[in-house]
Amino acid sequence: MSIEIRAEDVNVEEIMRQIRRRIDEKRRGLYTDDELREIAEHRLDAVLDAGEFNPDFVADFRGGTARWNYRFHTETIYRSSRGAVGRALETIRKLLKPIQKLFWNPNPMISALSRQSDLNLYFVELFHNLSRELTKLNLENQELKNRVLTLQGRLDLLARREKTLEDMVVYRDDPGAEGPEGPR
Amino acid sequence: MKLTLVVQRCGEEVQGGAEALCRAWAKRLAARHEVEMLTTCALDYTTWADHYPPGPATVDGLRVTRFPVARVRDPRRFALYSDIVLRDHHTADEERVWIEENGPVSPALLDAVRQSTADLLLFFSYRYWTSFHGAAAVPGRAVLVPTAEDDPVLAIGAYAPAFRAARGHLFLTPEERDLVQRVAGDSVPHAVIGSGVELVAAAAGIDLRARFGLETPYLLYVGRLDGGKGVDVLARDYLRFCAAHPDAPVLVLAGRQHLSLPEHPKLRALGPVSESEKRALMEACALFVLPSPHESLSIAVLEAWALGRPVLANGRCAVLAGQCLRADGGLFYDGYGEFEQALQLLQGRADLRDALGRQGRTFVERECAWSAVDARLEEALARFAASPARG
Repeated sequence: MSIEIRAEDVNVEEIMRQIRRRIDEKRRGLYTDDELREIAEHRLDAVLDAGEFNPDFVADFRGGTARWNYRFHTETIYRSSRGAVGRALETIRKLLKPIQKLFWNPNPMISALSRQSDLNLYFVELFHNLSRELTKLNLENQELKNRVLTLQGRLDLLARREKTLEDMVVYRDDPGAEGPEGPR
Repeated sequence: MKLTLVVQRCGEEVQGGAEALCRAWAKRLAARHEVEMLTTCALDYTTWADHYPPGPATVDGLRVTRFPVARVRDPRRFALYSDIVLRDHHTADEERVWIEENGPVSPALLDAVRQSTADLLLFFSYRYWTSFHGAAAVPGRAVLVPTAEDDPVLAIGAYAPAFRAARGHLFLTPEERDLVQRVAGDSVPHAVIGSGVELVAAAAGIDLRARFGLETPYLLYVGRLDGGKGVDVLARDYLRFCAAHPDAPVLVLAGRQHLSLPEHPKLRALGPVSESEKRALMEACALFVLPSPHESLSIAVLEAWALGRPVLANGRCAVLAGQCLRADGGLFYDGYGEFEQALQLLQGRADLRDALGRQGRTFVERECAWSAVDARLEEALARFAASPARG
């Protein structure tokens, strides 16, 4: 949700209501899914742009799996993309398949690449969810840090007060010392 | 009418809202009444050490008599009793000790108050020894100008009877009236006066770039740089905002510095500035920021509005939030979340900033012209003088 304000006859009460509604929404779930996704993607941008990765990777990543992942079936290694010639080539490869299997067994490779393709999808999902969780934890961590600071402040205050009280007791117990003025 | 104004300190060098208000009111009242001011010889409110010579003097053309302070403040005892009285369970005796420690203790001033033949005596700042004991010495003629803020001092039980014994209360804002009446009830005649603001243009000919190396846009705070004014929290929140929004404008802090600030290229502390420099800074700022959590009225906010600039104020201070709402001249925040949202909104919307500044100026022209303040003050004093004496 964005805050929409017209600049003529500004009503501060209304602006403050909108600001508070927006913050309430954030507090309810910390951030909406869309905002979390946005934050997570920004972080990914920063990492990828800063390194030596292909800068188009992020766009590909967002563009859908077909643009960056591969699909792998048992027939994938025999396919060709050369139109009519390719189809003829595919037929010859199928015919020669029994002979090819005399030289090597392609099944473990087919199986591994197929599983790798599935794993890629899984890792993308995993990284995405992890980055979302990390964002949530960062926010929670920030809140906890603020609470620790508040408690530390209170602790310092009590320690100072204890020290002053101790000093004053010593002051009063020393008969040679001139004590502070008493209450009027 | 013969009027005596009693204030904790008074002099050209004195910086302080209540003291400035006292002088401003005294100048206005002197045009129509016989006015004298009683004060101490102190300049520094942290020690109350005598600075000015005792006896009669003239400040701003006003007759002022200063009295010596009997003892300087012991910071250790004051801190201890503040800790006990303001943050813990305590006794009535401890409250009385706190009032002594708070000072400024001046028995000679108290004698002068007792001997005053004024029709009414106006005591500024309820929290100080001078007002607490002064008003008690002349209850039938004492008018309190509490300049109360929403802080733990107001909850000190010893003050409630002192408020109730006064002949009248003069407040600066409706929020201040509500605060005081929450602890003292509403049986005492009262009025909300406010303060006037001079609607003068900023000092021309001050080149901010040449003098301070400043480029616009910038955010501005003017006032004392200390924790009590919320400047430490402002610096922290602003740097957090900068980390999330690298295009944040520079924050300029103008005023005497009483705390250490973090080093950051966008955080500029200018030190004390002259009145004309302050106006030039205000007129050119994108936004005037006031982080103080405790105010009875912010003159600086009124001055920013008088110059057509919008305000972002600490909403934890009910007075500041009330000022912003009444004038529709600025936004306010409670915590970093609201600070970020409000600043982000105002940073990106020059049209909104200008509109808020315009509305603030209209409010100041309507409510804070000295003629309007004078009329309210005269009406209230006449009413108090005519009302039966209390106490």
